[in-house]
Amino acid sequence: MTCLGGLGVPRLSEAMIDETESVLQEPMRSSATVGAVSAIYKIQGAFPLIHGPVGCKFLPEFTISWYTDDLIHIACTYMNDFDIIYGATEKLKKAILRTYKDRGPKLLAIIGTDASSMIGDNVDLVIQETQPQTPGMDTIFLDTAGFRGEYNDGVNETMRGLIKHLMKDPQERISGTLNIVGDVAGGEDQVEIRRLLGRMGVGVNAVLTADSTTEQIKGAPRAGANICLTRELGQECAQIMQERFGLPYWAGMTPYGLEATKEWLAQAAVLAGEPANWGGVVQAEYDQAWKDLSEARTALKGKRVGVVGSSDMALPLTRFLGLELGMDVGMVCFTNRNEAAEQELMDLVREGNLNPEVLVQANLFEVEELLELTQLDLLVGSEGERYLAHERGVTVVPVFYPRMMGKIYFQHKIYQGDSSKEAYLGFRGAVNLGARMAKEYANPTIPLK
Amino acid sequence: MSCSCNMSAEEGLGCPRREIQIQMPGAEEAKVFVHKTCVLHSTILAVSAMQNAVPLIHGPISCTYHYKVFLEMFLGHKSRIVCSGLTESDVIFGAAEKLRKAIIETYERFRPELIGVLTTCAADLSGEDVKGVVDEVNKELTGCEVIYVASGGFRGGSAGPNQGYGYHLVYNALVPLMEVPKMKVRRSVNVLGHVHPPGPNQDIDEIIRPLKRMGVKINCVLTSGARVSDIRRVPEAELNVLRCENNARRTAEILKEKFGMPYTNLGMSPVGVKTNSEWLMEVARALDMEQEARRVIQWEEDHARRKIQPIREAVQGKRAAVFLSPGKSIAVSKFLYEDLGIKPEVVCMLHYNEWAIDTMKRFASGMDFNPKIMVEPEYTEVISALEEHGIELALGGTTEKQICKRLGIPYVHEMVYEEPHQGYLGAVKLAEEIYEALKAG
Repeated sequence: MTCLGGLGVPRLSEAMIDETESVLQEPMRSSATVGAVSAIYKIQGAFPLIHGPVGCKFLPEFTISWYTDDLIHIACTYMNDFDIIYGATEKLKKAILRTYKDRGPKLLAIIGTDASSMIGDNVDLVIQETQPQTPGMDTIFLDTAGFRGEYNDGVNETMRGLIKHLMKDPQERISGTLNIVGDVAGGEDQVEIRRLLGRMGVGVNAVLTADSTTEQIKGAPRAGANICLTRELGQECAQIMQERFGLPYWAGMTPYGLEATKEWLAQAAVLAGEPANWGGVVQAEYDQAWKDLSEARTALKGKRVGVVGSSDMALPLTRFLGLELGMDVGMVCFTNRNEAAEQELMDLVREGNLNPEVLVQANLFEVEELLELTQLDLLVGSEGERYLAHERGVTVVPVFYPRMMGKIYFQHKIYQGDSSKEAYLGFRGAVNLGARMAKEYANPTIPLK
Repeated sequence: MSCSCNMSAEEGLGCPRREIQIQMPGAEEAKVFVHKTCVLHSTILAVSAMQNAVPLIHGPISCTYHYKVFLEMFLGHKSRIVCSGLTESDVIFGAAEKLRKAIIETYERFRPELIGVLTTCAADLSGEDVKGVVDEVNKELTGCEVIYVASGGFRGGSAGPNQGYGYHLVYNALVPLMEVPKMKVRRSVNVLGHVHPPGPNQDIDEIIRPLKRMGVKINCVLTSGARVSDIRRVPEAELNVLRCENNARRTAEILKEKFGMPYTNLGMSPVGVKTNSEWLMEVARALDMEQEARRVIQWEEDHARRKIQPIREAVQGKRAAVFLSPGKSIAVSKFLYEDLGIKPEVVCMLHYNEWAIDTMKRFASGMDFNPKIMVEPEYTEVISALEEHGIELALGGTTEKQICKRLGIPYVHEMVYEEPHQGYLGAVKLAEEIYEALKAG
């Protein structure tokens, strides 16, 4: 944990913990395995196969099912202690053939775990050996052992795998079209982004990865350029595609809020060769959204709010909440390290005359300490902060994963989560988020005592 | 008469009256779509359920984050799970010092009575001397016990990796904390095998309420709500009572061997009116309190049946499916059949347990139809069975809920609920939820 500004984080007076020596973590970040599963299962025609013990399959399957209120399936080799000693390549081979027979995917992603990584199974050889028996199916291996990284690393490893194994030099370029890189959620957020690009006259060639077909992903190098939804989930991949296919790219803040959306769309327009009247379209959308936010602005102005999330998402939201809704931003917690975003946050805080407490690479117990100190009215984050916030009388508005679409089971009571599944990205997303926050403030889904 | 089953005719439901076919896991073809989880799941759950105890995961952040989110969603209860955050370098060069620091920091930061060091696949496979570190740190700390449980997800004993094995591992790690009793507390019991954290309207409250009415003292519930001081006093009880056979029988055997403690084991959870009465009578017989039990059972049964009877009349004859852990799947099936007249035509045990399979055979052989019984089925097999048997109602967890939602089958969540489903009042509540689900369609 690093404290960047404001009043600083209080130390535990009775404790003898030297923060510079601290090793303990109460993480707010998901695993590389889940990152890979999230990126794969949203590709139409793709299927994930976990090469590891049962828990590595259960957690992503269960949590994604629960928070999306949908049924998802993941295949697994169910590695046991015998496999650890003698290897599990034969089991993997059978699992590949079984998944091929049952699901017939166009793309099978074998997702590595701690156990498979440490016993050193030769997965590439298994893929090679099963290829003749799996016509029409591409099989890739993603080495996403938990000790190698976290959620973003899993998503990036997946996109690297897709580029390496599926993409080839294009025969032609489709000018004026873009790939959206780093969207692994899809849904209404992607619908809104596509709507805006469409109105501007910018075509979307492919999305890496959500809601694309495997064919669209294979055809990604034909686009005119890449635009990243976030730096953390897209920049590395876009850089590789630039080096390999000569595709220019832009990577910056995620389009949360009006200004960030405007900036993102402007960069998209430049990459797509500045279609006619794109600026007019964007300004009209901006003006409409600004007007549509007036009710939320009135309801939320001056209310004390905090943001917890990964840097490229929490940063634009800070601007939205502080400068576009007129809220008093009391705390900003980045769950990761991103020096560029940290500098941008400091600039925003200075220029916007904001005064939040700031944590980066935050642990949950540190967020808890900060919540105690900052006395917020609202917290924009995820279900992961629900208990800590609620205990302190703070209403949570979940924007990031896990954002519960189905039922929320909280303090032994069942509540209906955000079943609207509405967009929070883009101009309409900003209006939705403002309305949601105003509603939660006035009438929380889970009542505060 | 000789019998190939593990249970004497006096225990449980007696010998099977006819052959019952059970579809076992591990068929020739590779199973890739079974829905169960790993040992770490249950070791975290068992430690989290204790008062003032913190699970410390010695492993990468990945397992920690997801189990925390899962437990909070699943239990409706705040959970605190910390970890040492193993990295690739730790896996290669060792992380004994990191673990020692993490234990000390957990102690300093949260001042728990107990820290459960739970290892993951990465720590187990790297061959770290975790026990050595834990033994050393235990000498340094005062007022805090540190236990170590090897919880790598590939573990699972003879039944293969599954969550049931982890409860047993935690109970075993707690046994060395137990002290030889100076005296026994007359008519007192420990309830073994309940690992939900304490809270309002919990199953355990309703399970022990009739025991208390009988005059039985509850010495300790393992592990729900137990403090370290309660664990130390476990051997003071006269009897151990298994709430859930699947996760506590082996521990009951250990306590019998080490402290001479007898135990009762109905082989299933106390779900339903009839099963609760059987469960209570077993305890009463062991404590020589049958007269007290009969009085309480009579009152509780009358009270529950008055409420259940009109529901029975409305729902009897319906065809149901059950997807639950071994001990609970039997108990819920029995409740549906005996108390409500519903036919549990499809019964899925979500993980393997030899004892529970025997019990299920006994129960099923007494029914007037042949249920489809599957152990660790794949979802495709589940869907086929639901369609084949024309299932009109299902009870189970989250994944099966989504399957039933797609098939339009009324569903009762038997893992996440606001009011107890176990004990006598739990039976009434569960019956009401079944009625409401069927009514809603």
